[in-house]
Amino acid sequence: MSLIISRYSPAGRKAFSLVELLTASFVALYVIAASWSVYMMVSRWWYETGPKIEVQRIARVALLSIVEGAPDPTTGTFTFGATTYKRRNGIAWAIADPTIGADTKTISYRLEPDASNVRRFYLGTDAASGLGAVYYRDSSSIDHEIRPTIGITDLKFETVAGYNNMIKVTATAEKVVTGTRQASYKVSAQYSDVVYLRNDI
Amino acid sequence: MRMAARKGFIIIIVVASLAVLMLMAWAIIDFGCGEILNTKMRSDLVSAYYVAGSGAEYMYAQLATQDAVYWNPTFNGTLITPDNVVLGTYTATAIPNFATNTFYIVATGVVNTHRATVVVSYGFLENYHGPVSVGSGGPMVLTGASQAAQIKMDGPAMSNSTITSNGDVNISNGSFSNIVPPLPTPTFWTGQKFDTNNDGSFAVDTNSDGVVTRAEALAQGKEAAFDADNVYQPSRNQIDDKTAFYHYYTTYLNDPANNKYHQDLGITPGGSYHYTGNQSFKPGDIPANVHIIFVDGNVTIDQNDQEWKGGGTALAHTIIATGTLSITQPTNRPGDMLTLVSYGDFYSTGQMGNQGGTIGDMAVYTNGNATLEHGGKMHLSIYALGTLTIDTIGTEQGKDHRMLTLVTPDWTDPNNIPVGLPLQYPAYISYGFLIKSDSSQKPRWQRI
Repeated sequence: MSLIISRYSPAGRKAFSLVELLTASFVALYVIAASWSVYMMVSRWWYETGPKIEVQRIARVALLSIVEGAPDPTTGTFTFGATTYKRRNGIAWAIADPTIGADTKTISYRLEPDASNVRRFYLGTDAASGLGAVYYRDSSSIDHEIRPTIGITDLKFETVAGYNNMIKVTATAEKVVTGTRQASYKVSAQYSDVVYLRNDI
Repeated sequence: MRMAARKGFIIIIVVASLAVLMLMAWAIIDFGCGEILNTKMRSDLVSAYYVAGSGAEYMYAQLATQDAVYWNPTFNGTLITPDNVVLGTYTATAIPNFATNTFYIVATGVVNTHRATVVVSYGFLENYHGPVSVGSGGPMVLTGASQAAQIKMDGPAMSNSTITSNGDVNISNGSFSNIVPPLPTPTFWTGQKFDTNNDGSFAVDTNSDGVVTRAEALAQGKEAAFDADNVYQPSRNQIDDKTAFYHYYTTYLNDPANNKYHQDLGITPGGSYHYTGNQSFKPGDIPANVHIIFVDGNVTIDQNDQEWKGGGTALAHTIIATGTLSITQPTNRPGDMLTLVSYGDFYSTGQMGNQGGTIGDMAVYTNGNATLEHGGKMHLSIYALGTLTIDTIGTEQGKDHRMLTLVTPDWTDPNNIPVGLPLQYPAYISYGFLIKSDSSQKPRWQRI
């Protein structure tokens, strides 16, 4: 029997056995480490990775929405056999030189030769949140908010090397992260795509 | 407190902690893998889009450069890097719209089972309006032996089947195979099929083999109607397309009400220009005032059926044969029109420069195959329902050169169409293919 510990008995004991002490210490360490890991993971995801993914998604969706567009019944259709497909409304399918606004945050374009058939993508503000959002204005001048882009902070259109049928689109999304162990900081994502308007030749 | 209860408590804590950790790990791994898969799918879709674009470009190149335009074709291809890495596969199809003179190229790219479809619309021009130049219902085979003995023709060469060009072949208006809509198929039925005399009573082709036999008529109690309609070689005891062919000329076209001369053509059985058995003709055999002759048999023509030397008024002769029709060194004068129609095959041979060739015009229709061998110069419109073969065979410079130009009369005027051509003969058609320039009709790209 050890001199510093003694076996427990209901009637009274002076200390734990060595085996009990080592086991308890190991388990406690294990639980503390695991808890710390969980905390760190959640914290990282919540305050760092999550916001990055969010701003990246916003910028990416903005680019895809503007460049490829979505199937739009106002743009006409293709019919193959008995199946009719709606055409997309992205600027990639523009048939004439688009017009870029002076603030570079607006682009107007046409999908059909009809001069009245003008569409537009522009950077606007979501009424509910006050955050930025990409808007699509159809040929009837009705604005459609592209909701997955709420949170976008900047949108820029520019021609490339002087070619009016090559458009560079840059979408920027930023988010201020607060509530972390450190001071609040900003995460941002900026994606660009250069579009060759092959219908505009 | 008892010792046993405290030991169990520790185990529960450990197990619970491990469960929480495993749950979190699973969630994070699942989330991470999901992001990876999404990114991969997105990458594949973008790649598939560009692969589809490549397919569309390839199809465009095919349509823009090949001699023969195949509507509704499908090209399947694989994009491979120089180091043999497969990027993806594509399927491209061209779909014409003749009402708007446009066509769509629909190309689908596939990368790792992810698909993207691209559509491009172009405009095209019909660049030919006129009679069929060189046409066939079956395959067409064009062979020019060499530059000195080449095939050089106005065209367009058009086939409802395939067109094969070998050697030195030059077609100024291009060649078009598997054309849509196809060239018509003359049937010679002037009324209800198998009701030759159009009296409304006829036997039905019960087994749908294209022939009504006496046995079929008997089974239907239509023997009397069968006998009335069985006008061609009654001993054959069958009514078929050849019966219609025979009836069309000897009865229908011979009627003054149905021919442009508005006179009895004399080609009914027993008529002055109805021949039974094989016949041979040479220059001078057929008087100038005879419009048409009908031969129930084979016909062989040496040089021409008409007087080709000297002056005189232009001649227009038509020869119909129920069998094969052969002509050696077809020759006539400016303004002449020789029309040859055979139910069987057609064969022509000759050489350029020998008797001058067909300076006038020649029209040929055959229900069978047509073969033109060696050389010659013709203003020709030829349509073979079967296979059409043009082969210079020899290589004699200036002699085995086959030179075909369009017939000179304006066949948009029905009065200029030779008597004897089948009613459905494509005397005036609009065909051809030329992709409109970008300046006149811009291509339209879209992604579905």
